[in-house]
Amino acid sequence: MNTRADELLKHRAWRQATLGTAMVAGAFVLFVVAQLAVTWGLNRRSDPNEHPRLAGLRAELAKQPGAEGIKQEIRHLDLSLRTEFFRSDEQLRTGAWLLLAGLVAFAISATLSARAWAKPPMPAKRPAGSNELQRTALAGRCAVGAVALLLAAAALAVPAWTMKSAQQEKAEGVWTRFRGPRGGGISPYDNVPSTFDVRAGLNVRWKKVVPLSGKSSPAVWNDRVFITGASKHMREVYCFDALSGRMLWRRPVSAGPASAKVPENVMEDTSYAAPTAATDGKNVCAVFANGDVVCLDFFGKEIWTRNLGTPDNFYGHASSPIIFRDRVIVQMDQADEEDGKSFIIALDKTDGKTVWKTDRSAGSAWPTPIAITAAGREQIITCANPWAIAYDPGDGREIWRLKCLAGDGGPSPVFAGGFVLAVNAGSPLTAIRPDGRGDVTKTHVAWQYDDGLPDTCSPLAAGGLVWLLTSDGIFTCLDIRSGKKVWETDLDTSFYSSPSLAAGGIYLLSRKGGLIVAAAGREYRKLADGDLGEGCDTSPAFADGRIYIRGKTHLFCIKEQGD
Amino acid sequence: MMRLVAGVLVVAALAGTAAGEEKFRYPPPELGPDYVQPRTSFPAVRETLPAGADIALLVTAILLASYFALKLRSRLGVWCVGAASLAYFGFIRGGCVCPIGSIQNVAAAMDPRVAISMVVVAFFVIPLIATLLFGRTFCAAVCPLGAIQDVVLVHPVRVPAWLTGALGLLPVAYLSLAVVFAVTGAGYIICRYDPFVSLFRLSGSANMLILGSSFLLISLFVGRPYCRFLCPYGVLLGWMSRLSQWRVTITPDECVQCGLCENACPFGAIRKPNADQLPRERGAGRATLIWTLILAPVLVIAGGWLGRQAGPAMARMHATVWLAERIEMEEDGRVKGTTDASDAFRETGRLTEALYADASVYRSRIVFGGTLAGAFVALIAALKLIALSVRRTRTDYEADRGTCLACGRCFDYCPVELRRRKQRGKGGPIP
Repeated sequence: MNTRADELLKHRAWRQATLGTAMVAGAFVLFVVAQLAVTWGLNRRSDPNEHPRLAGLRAELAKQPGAEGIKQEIRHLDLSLRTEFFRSDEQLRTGAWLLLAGLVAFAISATLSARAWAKPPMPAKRPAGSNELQRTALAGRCAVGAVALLLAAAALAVPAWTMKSAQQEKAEGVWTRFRGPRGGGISPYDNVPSTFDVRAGLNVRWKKVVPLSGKSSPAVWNDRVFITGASKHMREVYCFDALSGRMLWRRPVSAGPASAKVPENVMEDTSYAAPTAATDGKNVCAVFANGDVVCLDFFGKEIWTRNLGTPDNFYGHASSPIIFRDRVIVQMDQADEEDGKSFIIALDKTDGKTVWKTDRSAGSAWPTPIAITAAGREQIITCANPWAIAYDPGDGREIWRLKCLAGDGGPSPVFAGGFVLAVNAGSPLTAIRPDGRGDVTKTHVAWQYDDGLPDTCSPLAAGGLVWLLTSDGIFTCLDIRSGKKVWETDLDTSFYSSPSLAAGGIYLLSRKGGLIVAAAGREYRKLADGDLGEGCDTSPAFADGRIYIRGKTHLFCIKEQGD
Repeated sequence: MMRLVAGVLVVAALAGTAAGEEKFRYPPPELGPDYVQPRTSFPAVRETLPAGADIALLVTAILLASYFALKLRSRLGVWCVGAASLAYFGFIRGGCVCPIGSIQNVAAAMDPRVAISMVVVAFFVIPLIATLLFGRTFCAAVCPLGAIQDVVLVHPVRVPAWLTGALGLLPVAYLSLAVVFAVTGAGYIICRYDPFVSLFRLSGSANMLILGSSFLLISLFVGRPYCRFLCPYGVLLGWMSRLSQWRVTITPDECVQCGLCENACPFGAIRKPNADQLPRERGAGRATLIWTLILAPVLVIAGGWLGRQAGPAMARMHATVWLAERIEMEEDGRVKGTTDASDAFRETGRLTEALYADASVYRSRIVFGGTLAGAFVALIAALKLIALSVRRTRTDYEADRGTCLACGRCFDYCPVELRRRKQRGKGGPIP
């Protein structure tokens, strides 16, 4: 190092010059970085594709296509945003070049300055001793272990992280069918109101009359709420604006001459519009008591209709359709088992044509099927006296069946804790392991429970517990692993509405319209109550911060006041 | 000589898999029966330089760097070649084509339906062969990613040897992932996450610019962090360098064990002498070695299992798997709205079952690849542990065969080397 070049580098003037240049260049770089950060923020804010106000105006224009004022405002805002966006974009480009130049100047001057100020290196005191080598080797082993553990943790965390992401996406989900996306009556939202009082106007965002009556529940997709209504000779699908309650459209349904044949024995408790509509975010499908099936787009335009034959059902048809992938699946159980009239059918979502149809050895039943994935395969689970049956959604072939039901069955099955839970008032609650094939009656029953059995309300299962609610108000909690009773209470009122879980509370709506919110825990505890102001036999639909409930005559939107 | 032959055979085997006939990279998309596929057109060949010019420049730069590092022992010469390479391969060519990314092209070309340009094959193979001959002179002065980190290195802070060795697992993991994703068609992650390409092109997403700037910021104080702790091609070059025929030495004369060269190396690539090790400690080292050898298969199996666990999540990198999962979530009502990709898929009228079937195939492949990758990383970890239990006797300060980047900084610190230069009438140190 003892050379002429180094002597020059060590000269005081040179040292100060390089240090000063490095400091000035460094300050310049920091200034440019700060300026770029600000400009980048402005650039992002003025991106016409992401601007919230512009998006809102576009949505508004979609609802009111002829509104010239909105058009003008969009044009004006779009022009100003674009001007700002491209101006800041140009500034970013210039700033990048300045930053590069500053970095080059800084790197050169800082390197030279570091060399100029560096102390001459000193010889090592001694070669590496044995202790030092041992320490280094030990530290090396520990470090390799630590890095390997970090990589292992990353390998395990990646699936967990993506699962969490999926759950977050699920939290954005909507209430697509009877009892929500999985048919389990569970909402991911924890911001829904825990109380309301329609008479006092507490937490009621809006209430609207539903023109034709029905016992179908609402289905929700973002800003649209779908519901069905029918009389003996009319059937309609309604779409309400989720925010304002304004009826966006109503569409009468008829599948031609076959629709005119009216079922004779529809009970008032069932109604001509008991099945809840199902939606996939593009279309909405509904089924009615006369066997009409309709598929509409989100603007109420008919995609297709067809009639599956008038159900020979002594209470009236109530099983709701479900949309599974590209198929609409309808469970049509009717008459008695020996009549051989029952079937389950998968219709092509796009044109209503039959993809597959499978006859069922069952009599009249009212449960809605659920789609699950268990034992590595997708299954459509159905319940009807006397069988719980799983079908392959691809071709409709039966996967397994288990004889566990008796009497008239209203409760729909649910899937939780690895078990399919099937129940009705005439037979015990049965926990089924869904990994069998063929008749699994003797092999796949995990446990059974035979007290407090519902005839209408579907079970609710979450967090290792199962809740049953009978029509006369016996509310029972079981442990899902053992099937043992945890607690039971008498709510002293009657219910047709199935229990739902949201924000840690179980929402129970009585036939008189009373709300009870109970804690979803191992002890019965009433958290809140409310009053709908009219009778209610339907199950609520939950969305972000809102609950949609169909009463006897109205559709209600429940939302925290001041929110 | 045997090492050279072995190395050439390894490179030839890798290159052999890559060479194939020129074919369409992807089959044309299915856009429905009414859609008429337009006639395929090709952009005009770049006219400023003939196609082979990049290869010629690469070879020239490597030869020059090797000549400066090994023959002239000139740090200035190495630095100048590095600056020129940064200017051409970095800023003029925009960081592409580069040997680091070529790993993926070569890996993907194991599928005979995938074509690969001979320029890319050359960029993959030539630095490996050069490293077999001359050590890592490509890293020293030809790689633009290395050069840009080198020029901003102001005040190197030495990373302890034990930590440097352990962090060497990260590029192995990155290499494994990159190969799995390339072979299965999931994507070229090395190119997608190249931290410097945005700087070379002065464009790119804000995230990538921030990533590149962060690497440069770290490079002010830590010598070449990307090269040492992330570069997947560096893993291959490190292996080749261990077999190299000639390599940089701190001094061609007798080492006086002053230890000055250790101060010179910002990459921690200089190993101390260890000849005074006691026989008792050798016994303890043997016991550790035996335990490590017993542990190695367990590590490999555990690594494979972990890779398999990560497989389904890794599979989401594949566009088909991602689309299938998205469509599934949309149809189950677990997400709101649709995406351009899911809308486009529905427009094709293709059955979702077919999409799910395709996704299932890709998912299986990536899970299998993840298993192999996990086992491979664990194997390298086990080899590192074994290497820590085996001590080669060193009587002098030596540049590590695998990690020495042949930058030549140590030349100017070695008093023996300086005396030799004086005797031969040569000049002094270089920046």
